This record gives sequence, structure tokens and C-alpha cells, in this order.
Amino acid sequence: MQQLLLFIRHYATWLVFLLLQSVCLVLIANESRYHRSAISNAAMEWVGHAMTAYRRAIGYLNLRQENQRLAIENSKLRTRLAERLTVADTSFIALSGKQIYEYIPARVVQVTTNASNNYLLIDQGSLAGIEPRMGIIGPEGVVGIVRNVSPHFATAYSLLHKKVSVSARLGDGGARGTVRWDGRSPFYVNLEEIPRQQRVMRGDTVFTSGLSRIFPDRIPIGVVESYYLPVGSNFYQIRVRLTSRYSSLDHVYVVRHLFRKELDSLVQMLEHDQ
Amino acid sequence: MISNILYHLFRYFLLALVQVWVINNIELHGIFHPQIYPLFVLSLPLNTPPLAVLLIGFAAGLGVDLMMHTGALHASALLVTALLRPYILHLLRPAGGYQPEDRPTVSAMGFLWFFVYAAILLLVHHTWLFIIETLSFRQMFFVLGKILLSTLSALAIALMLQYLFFSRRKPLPV
Repeated sequence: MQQLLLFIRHYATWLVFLLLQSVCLVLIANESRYHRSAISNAAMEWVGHAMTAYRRAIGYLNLRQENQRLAIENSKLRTRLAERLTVADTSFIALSGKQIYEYIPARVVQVTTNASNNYLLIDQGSLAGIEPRMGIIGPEGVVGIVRNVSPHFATAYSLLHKKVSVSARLGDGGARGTVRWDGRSPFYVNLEEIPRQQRVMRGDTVFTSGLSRIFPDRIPIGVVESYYLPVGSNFYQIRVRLTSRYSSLDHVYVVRHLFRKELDSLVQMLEHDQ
Repeated sequence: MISNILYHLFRYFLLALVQVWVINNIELHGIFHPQIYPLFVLSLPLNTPPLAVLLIGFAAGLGVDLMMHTGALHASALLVTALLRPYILHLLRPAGGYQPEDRPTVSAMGFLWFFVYAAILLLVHHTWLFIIETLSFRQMFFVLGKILLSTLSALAIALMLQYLFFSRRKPLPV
């Protein structure tokens, strides 16, 4: 007994270390469960308020740049609107009989780009109708996917996160593939699963495919920077330069699919049948 | 005693806020990601008991994790740093042992001592952090590069802070 006590006293620091380290590793392994916890929600609210105050203090620094981005986005949207109004696009009319997506405006209060899993914190939460797994888009394109919400704030995976993959399309009406981040540069992602029959050009725009129910169709993701066909492979390796600059993100929109529950239950039934 | 605790708490929040507000917002191709909050554990008084350093490190790491929404990643790395700190201090002890007025700063212990002390512990911290964060061998060379470059930049920031805030020379012993 005395031996044991002596042992414990001698190695107390190491024992405490092992105990706390295993707590940490368990928390890291069960990350998604941790993020749903009350502690995580409370932290989101605190940090959110502090970050909002900070952003308010330094916000004027890139006001000019932000105005320009929003103006460019506005002009693009006006152009698209004009196209819609003059060209009798039957597919559009058929689809637009019902409004499918709703956009909730929010502002980014915290963002990382250097970690191997990056996230954002935005200043709207469940009170504004935001739910996990909604898409977030910015003036220049796709930004991320909501991970967790508290009443006034939400955290989101940015595209620069290993768990995120977005269904994408090469150009207008090109082949569909998947966009994933390789964990390195915050300016590039990879577009995978584009078959070799597809013609790829440097400078082609990569859009969302609209298949995922998270993002609407035709939201830009990036531009093809380089590509090659690995020997013996049927699929291109395409490097895509992101259009969104994460470090200077400010105004974003959370995308709400108005019929997601309905679609999800249909898909579930389909999976259940198989 | 109380003012001492407040001083260290203040240092902690300052370092953590600079980490979250400034350093995490610098975008440099993802390979520079210096962590400066470990400097808080490095700067604790030399005679802090190892167990206390460990517990303080754990709490400090969890605080950073809450601010960065990262679960317990930073706490895990800071625990390793806190565990090794007493051993590194022991390795680097001067000939006559530490004096009661010694503090782990450049002005008290000299440039070389602080450089080696901070370099070892920051390297340990970044290595553990980025390996746990990535948890894959596919990116080995990238992660190695990230560890080295981030440690070097964190070390540069540490030295800069030393000269900015602790530049007062120790009075010469009479």
C-alpha cells in the first residue's frame, strides 16, 4: 500500500498528464458530439459577441473593398435578371413557379485559413432560422456549410475543411465532379471525378451542380488553374483557384432550401426501399 | 501574490486574443501558422510546481480551444508542452541553479538561454499540435514544413515580445 502511495506521489504529474491527455484525445475523437454540447454553444455566444465588437471596431478598414465587392455582385445579379426577363427561358419559368431557395443575410465575425480544418463564425443563428447543413455563399461564390447553431451565432465549415466535399460542375453543362480541399493552400481546392472525355481548359469556371440541396445551381466555386490526366486513369486531377477570399470575407448569405425536409424524407424512403 | 496572478491572467488573455484576432487572420498559403499562446506557459515563474504548470496549461489550452471552436486540440498540445517544461528547465539550469529572482526572460537569463528554452518547447508544441490536427501520413512533408516554419515564426515573435516588453537590463550584482 505504502509502495503504491509512494509511486503515485512520485509520478503524480505524469499520471495527471495521462488522465488529462486522454480526456483531450477523447474530446478530439468525438468532435462532432462535442460541438452539439451546451458548453460549445455558450462559447459560441461569448466569442461571437466579443468578435462582433472587435469587427465593429476595425470594420471600417476594408469598407471600401467590401463596397466594391457588393457592387460587383449587384451588377452581376442585375445582368442575370435582365437575361431572365428578355429570354423566354421555359425551364426557368417551370422551375420558378415556386421559390426554392431563401437567402438569409449574415456577416462573418471570425474566420481561419491556416489550420488543416478551417471554420467560420457568422453573426446569425437559430433565431434567424439557420440550421446545421445549410450552405453559405458570399459575393464571390461558395463559402461553406453550417455546422452548429446557437441562438445568435452559427459556426460553419469553410470549403477549407477535410470533411467538406461539394458537388460541382465544370463550366456550363460540363461534367459533374466533387470539390475537396487537400489541407494545404487556402487559395486552391481540387476538383475530382471529372471523366477524361470532358474537355478541360485552363480558366474554366467551376460551379456548384445544384445536386446537393445545400447550394443552389450555378454558384461559382473557382477557376481551373491547372489540370492533368494521370497515366492509366480515367479521371482528371484538376486544381481550382477559389474565387472566395476567406481572409477578407464579410457579408455572406445563408442558403435555406424551402423544401429540404420534404426532399430529405423522399430520399430516405428511397434508401429505405433499397 | 494576487497581483501576480492577475498579471499572468492578463498576459494569457492578451496572448490568446492576439492569436485569435491577429495571427489567425494572416493568410500565407497555409504553411505559416505560428502559435503564440504557449508563451504564456513558458513565462510562468520558474518555481511553479510541475503539477500546477500542467493544470494551468490544460485550462489555458481549453480556453484557446473555446475561442477557436476546436474541441480540445490546443489543450492537448499545451499539456505536452507543460509536462516537458520542468525537464527543459532542469536541462538548461545555470551552474549555480536558478536564483529566486530569476525569471524565464531574455533580460534575466540571457539571449541564448531563452532562445534554446523557447525553441525546444515551441517545437514540441507545434509538432504535437499539427500532427494531431492532421492525423495522416499523406501530407507528411507539408506538415513537417508547416511545423518548422511555424515554430520559427513563433520563435521570432517570442523574441520580439521579449525585447519589446522585458528589455530592462538586470542590475549588475555588486
